[in-house]
Amino acid sequence: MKSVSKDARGFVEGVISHLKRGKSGNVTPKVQSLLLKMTATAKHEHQAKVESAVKLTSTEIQAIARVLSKVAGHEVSLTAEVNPALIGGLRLTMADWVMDSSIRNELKEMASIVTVS
Amino acid sequence: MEKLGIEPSLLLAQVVNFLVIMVVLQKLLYKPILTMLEKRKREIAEGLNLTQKMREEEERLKEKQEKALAKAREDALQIIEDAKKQAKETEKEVIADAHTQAAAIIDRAKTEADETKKAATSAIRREAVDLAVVMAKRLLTSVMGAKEQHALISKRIKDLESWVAREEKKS
Repeated sequence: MKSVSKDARGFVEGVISHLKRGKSGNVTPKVQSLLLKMTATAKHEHQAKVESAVKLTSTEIQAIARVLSKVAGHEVSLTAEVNPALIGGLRLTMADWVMDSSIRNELKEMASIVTVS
Repeated sequence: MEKLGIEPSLLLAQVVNFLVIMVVLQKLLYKPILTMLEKRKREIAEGLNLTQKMREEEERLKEKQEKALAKAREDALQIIEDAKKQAKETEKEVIADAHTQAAAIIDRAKTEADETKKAATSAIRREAVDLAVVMAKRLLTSVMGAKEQHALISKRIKDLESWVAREEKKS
């Protein structure tokens, strides 16, 4: 029981310190990995969806659309949606490809790591 | 002879009578008696002989019986000794088998207890982590204001842009 409560406490503390370090850790390798996994079907898609916990500014939407267009190699039209369940971060969807860098997903992955160990 | 008052003819007749009587007695009395005595003697001798033989046979049988009894006693002792040995070996085997079974039961119980403990710990851990996730979500939802949200989104976009820039440089 002690180790379990220690795990839970460590988990919450880890998330808080993670946020204190600048709201995000070094996610570049993860983003890189997710971008590299973009499927051929997704690369031929012209429509994409971005979800966030708060409403995105037009600058943010344009920046994301620009990045996706570069990755896909053609113009991509982006639809923005607000999804408070994400807590923070972004969730991009293009055809069958999903790049989830939301806090909800990070929490899910962290919980999975703690549970497995 | 006459002076002595002995009549020769009478004497002769008496001698003849005597001889006749002797022959008659010899034939009718002495011989059967002697034969009977001889037969009786032989029977007694045979009886004695038979008695001796029976005594010897009895001795022999007695000796044989004693030997048989001794052999039977020895065999019985050997059987008892063998049975004791067998019983001891069986006892040892039963004890060893019981020890093995007990050890196996203990091992199985330990394994089951460990598995149960692991499963319980794992379940509790999962529940604790789920609870922690819920707590973290609530905490983060309350902590993350619009400023923090946009800062995080900007960070994510910068990550994406820097990766794309690196890929463009590579190609």
